[in-house]
Formats: sequence, structure tokens, C-alpha cells
Amino acid sequence: MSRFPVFDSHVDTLLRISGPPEFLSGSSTQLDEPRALKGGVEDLVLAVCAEAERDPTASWKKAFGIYEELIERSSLRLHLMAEGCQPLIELYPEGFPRDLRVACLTWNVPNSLAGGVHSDAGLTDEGRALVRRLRDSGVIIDVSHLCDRSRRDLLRMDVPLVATHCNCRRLRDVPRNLPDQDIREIASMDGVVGVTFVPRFLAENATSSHIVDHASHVADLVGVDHVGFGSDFDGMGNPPAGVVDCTSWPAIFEEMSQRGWSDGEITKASCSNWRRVFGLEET
Amino acid sequence: MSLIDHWKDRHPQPRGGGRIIVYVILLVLVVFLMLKAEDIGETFAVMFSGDGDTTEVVR
Repeated sequence: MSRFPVFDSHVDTLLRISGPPEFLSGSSTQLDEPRALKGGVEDLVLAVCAEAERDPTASWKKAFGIYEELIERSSLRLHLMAEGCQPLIELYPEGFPRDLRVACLTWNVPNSLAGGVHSDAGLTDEGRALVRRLRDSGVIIDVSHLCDRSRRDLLRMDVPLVATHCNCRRLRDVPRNLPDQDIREIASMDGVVGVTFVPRFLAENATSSHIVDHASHVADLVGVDHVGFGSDFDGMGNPPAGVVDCTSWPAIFEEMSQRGWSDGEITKASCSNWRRVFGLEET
Repeated sequence: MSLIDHWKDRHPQPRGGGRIIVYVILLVLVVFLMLKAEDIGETFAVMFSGDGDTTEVVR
């Protein structure tokens, strides 16, 4: 059991399991409840990346059904995220599900709302309208999968933004990572950047040490109050060396400690900053 | 304070006072019309019916 509680702002487990029992009792994925508890996880943002599936609407419905059951039965505090909002347009013309806490307009490919990282599209009028609806419904907007142009458009809209699972372009120059200027702007709105474990967003031959590199860069750039973690467990292939699955959190915190992070700073990054953003009480 | 609340704090919505004033004015107007309905009706009758010298043409 970790001495640091974990708020993981991004996992893709919902679309990797066939139903709640796999999550609750154990599965072959990178994350399930027994292992999450062992790793110190208390809060978990379960993303529904429906736009990566063949039938996004059906995928959303299936994942949302599993989520609704899990929220009743899990001992973790679960939060719902839409990773790609096209299904929301169709399914929720009036109001969004109460549990929807965070939303990224696209996955990697463009849709009718904005451009994903595999494009250079800007935010569309429909996208802007949805952002306002989400904001007015209390849903936090995530920039993680947006291309530079759409992300800049969003930053100019002056809405509350976070990055649930992104790293720093200064350390690893790939489109999914954030330029320093954008990290500064997100922090200026009191947002948080969730450092992610996806190896190709960390470094060549990535290890758990590179996770701490990216967290340290965000802390040096904008302060420790804007550092978080969004592992992307079950959304990546193999995790970086030194990370096995969601039981590996204590090893990451141990490395942070060895590199001069105080316990208070680690706690902010491991859970408190995201809890502030989500308006949650400390457990 | 959550990120959304923090944002709302920095972006106060316009107060609802203006809308209330419009509702009050509408209410006063409705009451006025109810009280003066008879007079207004007579005035309209005089204006549009004339004094009886119009001729209806029937074909």
C-alpha cells in the first residue's frame, strides 16, 4: 500500500473490460480494483474513448452502462470522462450525465467539433457551442488529444482547461505533448497537467525515471500546484520500464522522493491538485 | 474550490436585476390594461367603427 494516495486522471479500462466483475475482482488489463487499491489509488478518472471504436455511440452506451454499475459497487471514487465528444452530441442534446466530470473534444482524429493530433483543424462553431454547454454544466475541458491549432483556439476561449494525460514538448517533441507556453496558460487558469506514462510521449527507451523528469519540468515551469498524473493505463501498449501496472505508483513516488520532492509536494502531485480541480474533499 | 467554481468566480454572470425590472413593467402593463379595458374598447370602437356613416357594400 502506497503512503501517497493517488488520483489518476486518465485510464482507459472501461473499454477494455466486458463488465464490472473484471474490474472488481481482477483482470488481465493494466488496472483493476484490487491492484489499484494496492497501489494507493483512491480516485480514478475512467475515460470512454468511444471515437477510437468502430461504433462510437454503441461503445459509449456500453461503457457508460459498466460505469453506472461500477459507481454503485466500487470502493474507489470514480469519475467519468468523455475522450472524444461526438457521441455526446447525439446522445445528450439536452443535458449531460451527472457523473460526466471531464471531456476532451476529440480523440486523435478530427471530428465535427475540433481537430485531433492527427490533423491541423481548428475548433468549429459546433465545437465552441459544445464547449460552452460543457462549461455551463460544470464539465472540465481537457486539451490532451487536440492538435495545436484547436488547443490554441480553446485557450483563446477562456474556459477552464486541464490536460489529463500529456507530457512536456520541451523534453519530448511529439504532437501529444504540450509546449511550455500552453502549460503556463493552463496553470494560469489554475489547471493541472497530468503527466502520462505512455512511453512514446516520455522519451526514447522510456523508464519510470522519465515520468519524474516530465513532472519535474512542469513543477519547475509553473509550480508544484499544477502537476498531476494521468497514467493512461489500458490505453497504451507496454508501460515504460520500471512500471508494471497500477501497483507501480509507490516506485514512482519513491523516485520523486530521491530526487528531492518533499512528501507534501508528492502528495500534491499524486492527488491533491486534481482533487482541487475537481472540487473534491480529501479522503 | 473546483476549477469550474474558480472560473465562475473570475467571470461573474450578469445579475438578474434587469430581467426582473422587465417582468415588473409587463405586470404593471397588464394590470393597467385590465383596469382600462372598457375605455380602451370604446376608443377602438370609435376609431375603427366610425360614427355610423360608412356603407357596407353587399354584392
